[in-house]
Amino acid sequence: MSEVKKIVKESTVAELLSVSGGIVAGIILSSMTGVLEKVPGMLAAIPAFLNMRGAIFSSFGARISTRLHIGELEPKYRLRGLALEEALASFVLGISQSILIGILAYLVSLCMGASPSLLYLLGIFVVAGLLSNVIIINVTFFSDIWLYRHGIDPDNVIGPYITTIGDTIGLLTVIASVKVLGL
Amino acid sequence: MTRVFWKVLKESRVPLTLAAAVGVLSGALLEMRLEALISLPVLLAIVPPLNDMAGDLGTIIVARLTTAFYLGSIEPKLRRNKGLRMNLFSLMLVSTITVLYISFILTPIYSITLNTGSMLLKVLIIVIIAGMMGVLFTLLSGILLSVLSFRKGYDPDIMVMPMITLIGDFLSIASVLLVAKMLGLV
Repeated sequence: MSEVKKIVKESTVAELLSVSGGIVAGIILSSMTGVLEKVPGMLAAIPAFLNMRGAIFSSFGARISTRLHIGELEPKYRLRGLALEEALASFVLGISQSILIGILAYLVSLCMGASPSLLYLLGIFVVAGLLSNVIIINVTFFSDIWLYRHGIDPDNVIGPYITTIGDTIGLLTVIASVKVLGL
Repeated sequence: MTRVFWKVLKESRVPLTLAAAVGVLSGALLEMRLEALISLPVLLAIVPPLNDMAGDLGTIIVARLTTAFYLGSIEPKLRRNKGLRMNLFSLMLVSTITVLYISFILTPIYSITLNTGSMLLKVLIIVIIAGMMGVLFTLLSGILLSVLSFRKGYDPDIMVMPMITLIGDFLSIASVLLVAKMLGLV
């Protein structure tokens, strides 16, 4: 029963913070209706783009956590060695998946009878991918280490924490890249 | 680069590509209802927290089970497994608290912010039904996929994590649209 208590206590706090963060993402998304109408295919790509941030970096956070638990990584605030390799792999995956999402959104929108621009879709999601990857990798790694050092199991917390931060940072970087591309 | 870098890239490639494809299809579901969603932005606004909840709890169960399998504290088998049941029970408790929180605290905030107070009851019904459905199936999928992938020699942190957030997203969006349709909103 003490394990159930620990899971419920640690995960509930993380989850409530996460869905509260989701309200920010929801309001950002609902304020983007102008851009969504202007760039066909963008709404098709956004859930996949946000999901991808969550998937890649939750996995990164969980792997760092597993390595901390089984003693392969020391809980030090240094992104080196195994941790750096994990981070670089996640970075490469983040960029390649951003390109794939841009292309898939273009194809799906074409099939749905819209007239999307492949160049715009790729541009938006590659720039947003680059920016968000750098931020989220650092946040995930240092959060994992901090949680572990403070006696909190990162497995109970890092998933909700990263998907929320990933959603908010992901949407903000999409808006930033839309501005950079002058749309 | 050594073994870890290539292992992550190799094992992640297929589930992430699958996740991207189905993720875009989830987005296409939304895009097909773009006009209705633009006229009812509250529906667009409740998607991220519901997606977050299902995906988050899915990632927690996969992360916990992976660590437990490596440490040997839970056996990777589906039948008569106290450890799996305890994790499922604990996370369903967390989801119940979270759905109540979204329903009675966040949804009214949305309704005020987005000026859709008249639809509050319908939005509450969508959040409760779509939210609970999404979480239950996401957790069951997470348990099943983690056990199967670990037994096949794959790391669930790499193989299952991308798929579980995808399953959570897809089920949440589909559930929101399904319940909204049943209530005549889209």
